[in-house]
Amino acid sequence: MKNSKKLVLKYVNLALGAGLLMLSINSYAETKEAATSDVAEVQKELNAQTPSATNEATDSVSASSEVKSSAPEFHDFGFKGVRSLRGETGIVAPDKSASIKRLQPDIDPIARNYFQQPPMIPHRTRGYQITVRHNKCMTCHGWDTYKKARATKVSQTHFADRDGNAQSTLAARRYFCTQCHAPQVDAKPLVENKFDPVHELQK
Amino acid sequence: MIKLFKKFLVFLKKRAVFTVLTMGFFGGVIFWGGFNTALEATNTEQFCISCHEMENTVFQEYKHTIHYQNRTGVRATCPDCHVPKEWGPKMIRKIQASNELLHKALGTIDTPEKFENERIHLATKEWRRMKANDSLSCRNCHDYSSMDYSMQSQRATPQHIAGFEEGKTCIDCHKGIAHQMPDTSSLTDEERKEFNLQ
Ligand code: HEC
Ligand code: HEC
Ligand code: HEC
Repeated sequence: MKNSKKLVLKYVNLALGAGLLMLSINSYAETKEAATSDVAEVQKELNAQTPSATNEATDSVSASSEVKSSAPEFHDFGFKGVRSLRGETGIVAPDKSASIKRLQPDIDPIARNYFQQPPMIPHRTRGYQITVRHNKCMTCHGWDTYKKARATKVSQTHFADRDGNAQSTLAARRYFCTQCHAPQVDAKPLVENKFDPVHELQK
Repeated sequence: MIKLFKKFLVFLKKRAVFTVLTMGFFGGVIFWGGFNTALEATNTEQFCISCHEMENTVFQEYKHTIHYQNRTGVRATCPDCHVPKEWGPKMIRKIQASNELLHKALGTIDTPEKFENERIHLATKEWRRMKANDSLSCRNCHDYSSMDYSMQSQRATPQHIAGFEEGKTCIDCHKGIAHQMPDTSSLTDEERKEFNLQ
């Protein structure tokens, strides 16, 4: 009894194994067939296309030569176009990334170069908010605070509106300090500058 | 089977005190673990900004500040500044936070406009809290006794030396470092003095 059961099991096993083997052989053959037929089809298509393709090519060559003859004569004046700050980099080519300039640590006030020049900011201003609700700069540069903070006092001109009326608060047109005043980085001038600063201001 | 159970009952009766104690102990451990896990889950930035009132306003502002992204890559998250680290004060703050849940339900600040109107109120609360504990949450990370004044900026050094001598605390001078400053024009003169505002 037991033996026959084992036998049946063995045969079932064998049959299953054989079935699996057949299946795998079959699917392998199929993929191979598909691959070869693909190649053949592509080859056929290529054969069909090449004559027309070459035809087109010759057509376009003749067309372009016609254009050339009808265009005005080209004189080379040796002019290479305007050389921009980007240098020789082509128009579509991405710009070379500039090195990141670090903001300088605090320094003493920077001398001005001409009268009425907005003074430059000799310190970092990261995180200083100038919003509709609050102007951080004024916590040190305000008339009530500059002495204690040992900061430069904001100029009286900043309290006059555009009609010259004096106000008790910063005029709207002078509210956004960084419109005119900027922190400085240690950067070489991009172009030579022959400006001669006002000597009185340099002392 | 029934006999065995009866025996077990007798055993329990004999050592009732012992049983209660052990059950209490293990129950306590499980309860405490769960409580702590739940508490820690509410102590993450993820939880803080899970409601739009925080995500659309203060979180967006904080993302542009040094405490979100900086040279050294150390980040201060919401609970680092807003929830005390010590157990007692932390519990008190967490219980107070139930009031915030109430206002969440009431929709007190559920639009940007409402939030802006309430901002000065919310900010003064934080300023008061930080003044009261000598800006403890800042000092958890920044300790003035470990500040190297020679490395600080020209503006910071004299202000820090003089300020700490006067007994000033971080929040007296460093307001609006993580979010936009509120409009302080509605504050009274006494309040301006209290918060060291001009
Ligand atoms: C989780 C720790 C942590 C906490 C809490 C913390 N900070 Fe900071 N803070 C930092 C780190 C880190 C930096 C950036 C250091 C760097 O890279 O220069 C920083 C930078 C600063 C700066 C320098 C800003 C700048 O632009 O240079 C100030 C001011 C400051 N923190 C004040 C505070 C105040 C006030 C509090 C309390 C409300 C506070 N911090 C809480 C970790 C913390
Ligand atoms: C009396 C006012 C005052 C107090 C009190 C004060 N600070 Fe400052 N702190 C300043 C000023 C002013 C600066 C420099 C300008 C700036 O960065 O806004 C500064 C700069 C800093 C900086 C940046 C340093 C640098 O070199 O850029 C850190 C960090 C800082 N403070 C942390 C603290 C911490 C932490 C406390 C509390 C323990 C504190 N400050 C208390 C006024 C103060
Ligand atoms: C570096 C510390 C610091 C971090 C980090 C921080 N805050 Fe604040 N927060 C403050 C301080 C200080 C105030 C008090 C008002 C002020 O000075 O701007 C405040 C005020 C607030 C207010 C009141 C409204 C307001 O604008 O004054 C809310 C709400 C708030 N924080 C939520 C958050 C959330 C949410 C996060 C995390 C995304 C966070 N804070 C991260 C320091 C911090």
